[in-house]
Amino acid sequence: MDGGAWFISILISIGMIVAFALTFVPFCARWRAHRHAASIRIDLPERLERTVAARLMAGSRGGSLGGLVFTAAAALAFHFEVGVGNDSQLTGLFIVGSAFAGVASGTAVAALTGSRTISPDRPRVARARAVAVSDYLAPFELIGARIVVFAAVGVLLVTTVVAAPGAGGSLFAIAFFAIFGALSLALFEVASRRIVDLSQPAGSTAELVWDDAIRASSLRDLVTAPLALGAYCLVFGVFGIAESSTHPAAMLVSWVVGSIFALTGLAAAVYSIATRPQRYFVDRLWSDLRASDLDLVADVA
Amino acid sequence: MLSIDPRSATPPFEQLRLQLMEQVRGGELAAGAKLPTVRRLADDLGLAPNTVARCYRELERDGFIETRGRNGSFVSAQGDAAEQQAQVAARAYADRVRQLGVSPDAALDWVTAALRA
Repeated sequence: MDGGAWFISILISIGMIVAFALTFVPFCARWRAHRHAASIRIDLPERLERTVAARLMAGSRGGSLGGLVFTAAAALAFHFEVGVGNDSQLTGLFIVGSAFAGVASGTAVAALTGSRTISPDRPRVARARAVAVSDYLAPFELIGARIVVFAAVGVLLVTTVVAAPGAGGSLFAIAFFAIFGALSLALFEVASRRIVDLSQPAGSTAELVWDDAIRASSLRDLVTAPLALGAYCLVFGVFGIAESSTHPAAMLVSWVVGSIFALTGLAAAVYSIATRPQRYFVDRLWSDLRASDLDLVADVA
Repeated sequence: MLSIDPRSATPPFEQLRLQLMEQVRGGELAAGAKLPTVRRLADDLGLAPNTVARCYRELERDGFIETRGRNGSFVSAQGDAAEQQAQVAARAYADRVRQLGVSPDAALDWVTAALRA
């Protein structure tokens, strides 16, 4: 593993350790909760502040711990060449990809293991209709992740069949990202359904809204891994083929296809930012939310 | 939204049944809307699964909901045959509008214009 890959590994590890440590700082927890409230434009009642902050921090803790474990494992695997080659210039990207997969795994574990209880003598509220994963994630992210990963697996199959001679390192990159992308998509599909199927004990509308907000946040963290790994495969893997190919036609096709994937990814990122997908669940599940709904003062305009 | 108050004089079963009936009648729960599973609703409301199952059975008997095998329970269309067909069509329109990513306001404007045409 070269110096650049080590630098990336150490940088990610430090970032994960700092993120993990900050989850134990009350001020950071409150700041994170209010920042999340601002991003989804739902007011956070004072009495829910501590609970919401604790649940958001539990998710962050799981994500940063998972990211750290996967990053360290990937760095060691590449260093000792355990089941992976050490001759690729893309090792740093593999480490980043592993971190994404780790964050998703940790977030899933945190979301599925948290439990909430309500005093039995308190009034309870519940939604009268069933919900699905598609109520929490915008189609752009939910369907986009599937399309990107299937396209990555398709690219893997195509490049395996028509691989240019001498493209071993690039094929490894494509295989690495496509396989990890497919695994993270499988994790997302299973974990997301289980998260949505979990019960939502709530004593007020505000509690239910915030439970939905935390669910949506966890699901968005989960879907980021297959999206990122699939996109890495489509862009960096295909460009890698172009650089290592000795056949002019294969090189040209790889450059063109890689450029199309890169531009599409850029356009998709801009569209995603513009449409504020973090608020999708509000429009879908709480479109008729009023400021007078119990203790929730909301800006849903 | 459903709410159950354990301190109320009305039994939880009756509270749940009345609220679901009102929401179906008032259109808050549209025809074709899927209801939560018995276990899920029982967990959410802190009720025994048998209580929710009994409530669903009575609502089905009274024509408010229908059970479609393992697919779950769904809100039945209300009113006479024409009104029921209109409700099913409205549900299909709403689903299609969501698929297309069209805003609810625009969809309402178009259907209002179509009705007035």
